[in-house]
Amino acid sequence: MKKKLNKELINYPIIIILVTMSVLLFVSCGEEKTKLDLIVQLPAKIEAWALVGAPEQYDRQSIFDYIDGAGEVYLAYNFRDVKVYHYMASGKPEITVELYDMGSDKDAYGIFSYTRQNEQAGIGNGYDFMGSLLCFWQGKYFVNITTTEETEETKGAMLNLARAVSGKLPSGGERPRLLRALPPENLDLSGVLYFHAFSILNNEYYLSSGNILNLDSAAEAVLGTYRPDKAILLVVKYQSEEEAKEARDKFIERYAPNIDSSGDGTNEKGKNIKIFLDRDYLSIVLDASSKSEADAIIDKCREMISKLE
Amino acid sequence: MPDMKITRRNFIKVAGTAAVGMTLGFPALADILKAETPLSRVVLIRNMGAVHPDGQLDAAIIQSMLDEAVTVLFDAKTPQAAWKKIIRPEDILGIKTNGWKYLPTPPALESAIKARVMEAGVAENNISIRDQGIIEDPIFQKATALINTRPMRAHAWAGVGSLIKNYIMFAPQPWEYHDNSCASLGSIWLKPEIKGKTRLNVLVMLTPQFHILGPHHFDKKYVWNYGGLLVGTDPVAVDATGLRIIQAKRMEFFKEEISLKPVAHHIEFADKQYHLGTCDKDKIELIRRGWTEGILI
Repeated sequence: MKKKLNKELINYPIIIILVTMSVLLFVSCGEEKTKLDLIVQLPAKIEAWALVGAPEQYDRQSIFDYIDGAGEVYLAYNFRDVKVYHYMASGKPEITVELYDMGSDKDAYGIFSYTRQNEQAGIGNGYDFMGSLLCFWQGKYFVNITTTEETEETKGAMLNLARAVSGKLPSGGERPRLLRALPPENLDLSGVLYFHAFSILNNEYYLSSGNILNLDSAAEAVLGTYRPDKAILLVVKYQSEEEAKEARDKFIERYAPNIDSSGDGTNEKGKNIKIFLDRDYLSIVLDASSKSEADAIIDKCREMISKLE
Repeated sequence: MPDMKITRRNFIKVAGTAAVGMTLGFPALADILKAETPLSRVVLIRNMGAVHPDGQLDAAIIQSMLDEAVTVLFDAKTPQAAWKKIIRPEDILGIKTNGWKYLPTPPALESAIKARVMEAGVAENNISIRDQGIIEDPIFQKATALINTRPMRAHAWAGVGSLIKNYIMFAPQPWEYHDNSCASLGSIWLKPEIKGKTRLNVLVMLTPQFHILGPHHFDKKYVWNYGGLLVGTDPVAVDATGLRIIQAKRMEFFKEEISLKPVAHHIEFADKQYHLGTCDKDKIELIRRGWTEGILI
């Protein structure tokens, strides 16, 4: 009876399906593992520091478990996941490597532009070393290497670690095309920012408590600061001309109601503003010291935009 | 119901401690109304020995700092008398701390608070000290009183990690309060399960962090031995005072005004939009005690 029951319980088609799925899953995991290994096999040792344990991994849902609310900075750049590696050495400060998959070259550059203070060449597509933090971008990856205390030893180890990580990542990576909308004359390169979210803009240059430019993840924006008077140029590329028009009207209504039909006005600091709409591109000069300075920046910007299409 | 003919300034002053507190007739709040002082009182107490040269904290000194601060804050003769003005033996007490690994609420301060509330008659099994997981914590769920304490630090999304921000863990989905550099954090304090329960705010300024280079960045270079505690019933006034110290330290360190990134406007929103207290320094009575060197404010 028992044997008969067992036989009846055996469902051969289901077994075949399960076996097939297991084989496919195994193969798929193998491929994934191979891909992952290319990325995660960081050096086991860098000078006195040894890699400890397997990397932690956080995605868009779990990022707040790792970085609390500040994880929003990465989410604002369409972050996919981060792997975190810990390097320890007896009696020395810990060194942490964070490998962020930002999903695209543009956003890897974007979060780099938000983090770095002065860009240097030599590691990845650009890096900055600020003592206890070294960051660089390469392809769709943004890499943060941090320590809690800067010493001569951590400096050397962090630089070597950065080079080693860079060597493990696929090379290449293109900067966002929209950067070319910023006229290069008198542009402070260390202050160039690429972003999507209004909150990122506000963190860099506080405009308003509300999203008065209708920025969202589909919009692309660049911000540049111009010498000598720190005039700001903001260029946003919207999904459509209609969206750009709506944003312009909202900006004028909420921020600069005194803007005239030529796009000229002043802000509450008494500085000059100029706004210009060209198809789906909205360009805004803020904090110019004179109307002529605002005009000059916008004129050059228009030329740059015309070359983008 | 007490006399509600209070000025807006009175309201600002007591709102942080809680309107419910007033209706319960706490002596401390009654004294505040009686005095008709228009200012939010904040006590800054400092002791150069609170942080040892090796970074270790001195538990005995921290206890004495807390004792002196509450005594001054509530015009009491002893710390015990001060605590009895804000805590009742039957209270169920949640002590909201902060567990950020690089700069947590010091265990010595947690112990100091716990010791005094137990002296005030609160049973140990009616006290919970916690940061993460408070909404699942049975003590916090039925809390009749809250004490809020955390260190102040520069923060990549809110400008500073503040007392106001410390209640974000009461939200089931904290990210709902992240928009616009956490401008709406003050609204959390108005949730029915929180409103009116906070009896004391202690902003830890022992080794505040005045600068960061990236999200959740920590570097010993950007903390310093300030050796202070800021204590008050108005969380906005305490946070605003802490922020002034952070800004003064940034000015001293960088030799120029470099704004926090982002600006910590959630503190002003907590005043202007949510009416939790005042961030106007002219409406804050700042009482300084102890070590004066490098006070910055």
